[in-house]
Amino acid sequence: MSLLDNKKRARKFYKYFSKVYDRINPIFYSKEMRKIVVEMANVSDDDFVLEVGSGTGFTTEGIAEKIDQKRIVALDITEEQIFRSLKKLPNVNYFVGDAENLPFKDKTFDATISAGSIEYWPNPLKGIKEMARVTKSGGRVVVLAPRRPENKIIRALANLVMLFPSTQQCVAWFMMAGLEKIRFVEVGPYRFWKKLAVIVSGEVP
Amino acid sequence: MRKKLLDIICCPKCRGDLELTAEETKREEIKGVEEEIIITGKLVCKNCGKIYPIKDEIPYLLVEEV
Repeated sequence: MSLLDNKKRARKFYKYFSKVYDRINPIFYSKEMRKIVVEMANVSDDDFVLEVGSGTGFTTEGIAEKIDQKRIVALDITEEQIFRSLKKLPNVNYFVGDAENLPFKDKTFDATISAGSIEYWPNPLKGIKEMARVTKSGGRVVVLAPRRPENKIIRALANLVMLFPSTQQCVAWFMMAGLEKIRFVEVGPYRFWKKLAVIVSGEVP
Repeated sequence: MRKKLLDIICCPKCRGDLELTAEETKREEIKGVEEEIIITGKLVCKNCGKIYPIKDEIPYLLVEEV
């Protein structure tokens, strides 16, 4: 499916795109990026936060800088990854689970975060819908998606039109998942395409 | 898994409520609050009957084995 097939959706996309365009920040995937992810989730002291695809706990550490480990639920499909995270963050609540079929009740979390996981999901829209489902009304869903154009031609094309297909795609998924107040930040210097990522956030209505 | 979290989890397949059968548990004080931790056990969906294991304190809530 081509995103821009739907004119209404395209218009909405450009509306958001223009609003945040000036915020594009040239930095690497790093602790700074992690900080942006956590900030975009508006995580505060008493919040109960879910991280989907928490892996070895890089982003989880960033969340744990803001709130107590006990207030974090970390889910990953691979137990080996969880065991590694467990060594760093022993009091986080871990679950082996699948992003597209979250084992949590509706409106459970104040914020739901996923960084560097969506590129592995066979059905990303389903995953984002799940994140929205388990998040409370007024809570935020934040996704960081590394953008890796497969070859030079695609990279060159993306550069030419100054539009980043996976950013559009991510924003579209957020819209289709019913999220509101969508914001995004693209991070990474242009000459290092492989390091580029987009962080998208949306609010549950 | 902290027993308390039973309130927030559901069957990933049908979203039914899960019933806990604890096999091994411990009590642990986390930041001044004593809580019951499930080390091993089972979570059974009250709706579809699917069984999910808890091993080494971690619940495995997968629709399909990977």
